Amino acid sequence: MPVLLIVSLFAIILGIYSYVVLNKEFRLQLHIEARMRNYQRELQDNIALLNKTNLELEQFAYVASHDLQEPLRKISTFSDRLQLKYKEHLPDEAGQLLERMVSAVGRMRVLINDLLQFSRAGRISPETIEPLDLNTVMNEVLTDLDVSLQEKGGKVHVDQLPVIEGSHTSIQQLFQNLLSNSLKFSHPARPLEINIHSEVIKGKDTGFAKEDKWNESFVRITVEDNGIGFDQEYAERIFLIFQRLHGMSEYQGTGIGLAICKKIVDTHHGNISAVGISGQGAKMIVVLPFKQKWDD
Amino acid sequence: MINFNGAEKKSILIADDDADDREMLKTAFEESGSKQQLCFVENGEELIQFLRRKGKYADDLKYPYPRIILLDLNMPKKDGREALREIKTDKQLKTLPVVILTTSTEETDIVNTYELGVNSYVIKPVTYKGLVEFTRTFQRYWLDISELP
Repeated sequence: MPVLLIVSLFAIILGIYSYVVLNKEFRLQLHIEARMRNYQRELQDNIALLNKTNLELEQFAYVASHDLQEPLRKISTFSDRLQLKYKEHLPDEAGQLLERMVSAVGRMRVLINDLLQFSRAGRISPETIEPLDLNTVMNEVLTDLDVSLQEKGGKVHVDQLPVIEGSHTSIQQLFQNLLSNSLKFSHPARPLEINIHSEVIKGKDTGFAKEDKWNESFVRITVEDNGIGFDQEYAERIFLIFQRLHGMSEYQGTGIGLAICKKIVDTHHGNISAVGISGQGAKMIVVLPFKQKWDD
Repeated sequence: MINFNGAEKKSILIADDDADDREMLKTAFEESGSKQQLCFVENGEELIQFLRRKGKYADDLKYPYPRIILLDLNMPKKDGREALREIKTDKQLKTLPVVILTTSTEETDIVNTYELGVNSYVIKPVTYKGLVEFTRTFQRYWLDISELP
C-alpha cells in the first residue's frame, strides 16, 4: 500500500514538474517568437526607411544640381553681357576680375554637371537590364577612345569577355571611365599599356557575395595599366565623389569618374576595388554577377 | 469665340516664368537685329489663353498671333510639358511650331517632348554670346528658311 502511495505521489510530482517545465518552455517559445516578429518588423521598418532616405538623397542631388544650374547660368550670362557691353569703359583690372569670376562660374558649372551625372548614374530601371555582350560594349568604348589611345601610343589587350545582364549605357560608361583614367594617368616616360583580364568565378570566391549567392557565377574583370599609379593608402578614397589625388594644374577633372564607376557597379550588385603602386601602375578590379534578376 | 484665321501671324511667342530670362532673350533678339514682335507669357496657362485668344489676348494688335512658340519646360501653374501636350492634341493649335528652350538636359524630357510632337529642343545657352547666336540661328532657320503653316 505505501509503495503504491509513494509511486502515485511520485507520478503526481513528475506530472506537475513536467507541466511546469513544459509550460515554461512553451512560454519561452512564445516569447522568442514574439521577439523574432518584433525584430523582423524593425528590420522591415529600417529597410523601408533606408530606401526612403536613399530616394530622398538621389532626389536631393538631382534637384540641387538642376536648380543650382539656373542662377549659375544667369551669373554667367550677365557677366558675359557686362563684359561685352562695357568692355571699353572698364579699367583693365575690372576686366581681369570679371574674367576670374567667369572662370570660377565655369568650374562651378562643371561640378554641378558632374553631380547631376553622378545622381543619374544610379537610376537604372529594370527595363534597361538586358543581356550584354561585354566584348561589344568594350569595342564601342575602344572605338570612342581610339584617337586618344593613338596619341599616347597606347596598346590595349583585352581577354575574351562574357555575356552578362546589365544596363548597356551604364556598363559602357563604366568601361569608358576606367579606360579614360588609364589614358589620363599614363606615365610620361613610357608608352601606355592596358591589359584587361576576365575570369569567371563563383559567388563564394568574390569576397562580398552573400551565402545565398555563393553558387551564382560572377565575372571578375581587371583593368591593369602601367601608368603613374597611386599610393595604396588612397585605394578606397579614390571612389568617393570629388576626391582627387592631384592638383588641378596637373590633371583636370573634378574627381567624379571612379565615383560613377562605383555607383554603377553597386547598382549592378557588384564590387569595385583598386590596387595601385605609385609610379608603376594601377589595377581596377570589377566583379559583376552574370544575372541581375535573381528575385524572379 | 476663338478667332484663329483673322489674327495676323507675326509674333514670336515666348513662354518663360523667369523675368531675367525674358529680359535677356528680348535684348538678345534685339541685338541679333530682329524686327519680329516678341510676346511674352509667364506660364502654360497664360500660353493657352494667349493661343485661344482669351481675355486680354483677344487684342490682335497688342498680342499678335504667333508664327512660332519658344517654350520653357519648368514653369509654375501649368508647366511647359502640359501646355505642349494641350497644343499638340488640339486640332487647331497642333500645326503651330513649338521650340523648347530649357535648362533641362534630361533625356526623358527630350524624348517625351519629341513624342508629344515638339519641333525642336534647345538647351538654354550659358553665355550671352551663345544666346545672341541662338536667336540669330533660330530666326534664320525658322522664319527665313522654313515654310511654316
